[in-house]
Amino acid sequence: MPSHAFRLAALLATALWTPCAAAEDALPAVTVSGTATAAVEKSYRRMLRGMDLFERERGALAPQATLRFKLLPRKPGTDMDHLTLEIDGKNFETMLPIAPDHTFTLPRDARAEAEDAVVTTTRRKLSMTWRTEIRTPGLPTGVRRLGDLRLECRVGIEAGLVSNSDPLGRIADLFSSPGSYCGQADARYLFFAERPLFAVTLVNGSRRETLPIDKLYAMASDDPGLKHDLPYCDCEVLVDRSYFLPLGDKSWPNDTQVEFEYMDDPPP
Amino acid sequence: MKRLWLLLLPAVLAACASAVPDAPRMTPQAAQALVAAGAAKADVEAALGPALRIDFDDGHTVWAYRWPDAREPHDTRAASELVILFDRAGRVQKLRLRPGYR
Repeated sequence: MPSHAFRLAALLATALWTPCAAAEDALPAVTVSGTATAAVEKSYRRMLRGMDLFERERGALAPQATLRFKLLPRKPGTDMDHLTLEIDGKNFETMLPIAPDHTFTLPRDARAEAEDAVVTTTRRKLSMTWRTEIRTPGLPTGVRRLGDLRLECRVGIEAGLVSNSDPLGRIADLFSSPGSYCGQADARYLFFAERPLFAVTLVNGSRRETLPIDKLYAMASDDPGLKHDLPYCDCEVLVDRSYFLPLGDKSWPNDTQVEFEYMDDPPP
Repeated sequence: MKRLWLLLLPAVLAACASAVPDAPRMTPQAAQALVAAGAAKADVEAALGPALRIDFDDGHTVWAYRWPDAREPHDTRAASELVILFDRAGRVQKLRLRPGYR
């Protein structure tokens, strides 16, 4: 396990290295090693912490919702079918079923917790990313609930799922609790929609507000060096599905509906 | 030390951002009216000028024109936007006009 100081140094080096191609020649080279062939894995204990947080906070944010975890591609060509997922402890392995939409639930297992097990797949590290999927049943197609998404952020950070977001986001993750990070009005927690997005609109009663374009596409509109930065973002193959929300803006209640217009929807 | 880095990083990132193209010299509604379904990128650029451009790997492209609010020129929430989606052939697939919010 790298020391906290080492992780900080690595992240800062990456952050300084990645902003844009124009600065590339002026900055020192950074060598990254030891991650290319390791498997995708997450800490079972951290994921349990996320599940505990979900149970504690669901009443306030998403009382009818259920929690699942979701696997998403991070690199082009990643085969998301034929995945296997398991809990690996020192003395046991337990296979976990994955739904066709690549979601799964994590069972509570005292042995896995005691052995500090990992949840791992057959894919190489950095080929996939993880998110929570917290959904209130009964919503129309193409609509999410803001309280569910607020809780997704909090559980996702508590569970340690977001390991590679934008450089500033990563640094914020290191020093912030889920409450303080996800409570920011401008929190940069990347959500991913089902399909490529054209617009995201918040709706509460008669109030409607469409997000500006710098809240879509991983802020690509404000980052001409995005192509260069993408390998460091877990949105690399999901840019057209990504969006930020004003999670900490209390003027939008948890029942606010988040409506999606997809690129392939017919024009209104 | 930690605080110093956190202060420096936004400055480094900001230095790399490109200038946002100036808004077309017309109202957002007038600009919207000039963009026809099926129009080519060259036609749109000839009518409205350069846009913020986002190219996606699947061949789609999004262009955006932004009219900043005079009182909050750096607040993108307050800005009006015309957003245009081009299909893989480079033709206007659809567009939308977003008002500024205060």
